[in-house]
Amino acid sequence: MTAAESKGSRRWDWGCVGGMSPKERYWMTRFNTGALMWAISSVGVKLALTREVVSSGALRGLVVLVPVLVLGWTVYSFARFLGAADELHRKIHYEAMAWGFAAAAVVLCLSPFIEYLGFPRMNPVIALVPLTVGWSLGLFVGRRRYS
Amino acid sequence: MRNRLRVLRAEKNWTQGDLAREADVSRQTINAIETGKYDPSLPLAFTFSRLFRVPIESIFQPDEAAADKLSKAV
Repeated sequence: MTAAESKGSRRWDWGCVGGMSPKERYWMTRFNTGALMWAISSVGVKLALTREVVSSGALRGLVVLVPVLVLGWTVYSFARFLGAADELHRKIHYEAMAWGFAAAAVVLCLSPFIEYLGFPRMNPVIALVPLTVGWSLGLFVGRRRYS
Repeated sequence: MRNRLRVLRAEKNWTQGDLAREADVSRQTINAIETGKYDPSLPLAFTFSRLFRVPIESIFQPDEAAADKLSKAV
């Protein structure tokens, strides 16, 4: 039995996109599902609160917690994905995260100044856009660089 | 860093996929190392050393610039 065979669940599946191991793919799927659930639950909670669907104070507090818990699960899934990832995949993801966070930081730092130019006050959630775009761009560049 | 991974792999008649399975990494990682785009971690270098039964320094050598810098430092 080879070293790889003895580790069982860490064996690599060459048929899948990006050569992810089953464990890597398992956590990446959960991360993607979590991110989608977070977006849906955030919109749902916002609508529920603004349209007074939930009126009780205590219940409102609980409802607000829903996207927070979903986000916590999403972050946990991503951390487990990084733990399961191959060292090159991990490096690519770290670099992509750096791109995303740098792009988000630039937008967040610029936002107070562009208000002086007449732009409306920016919702901090907007920083998710450069974060996502930068992250995706970083992944694209990283995968190309090391392929 | 330069390496002889491709040569050592060929001597064993292994494909990149075979080596990747033995070393428990992705084929993309093996390809990136062989083409010099990625330098492996020390634990992975030790894994290669164990798999091919050769010392690490016979698999990986510093490239010209790094070797010059090293010899000047010593």
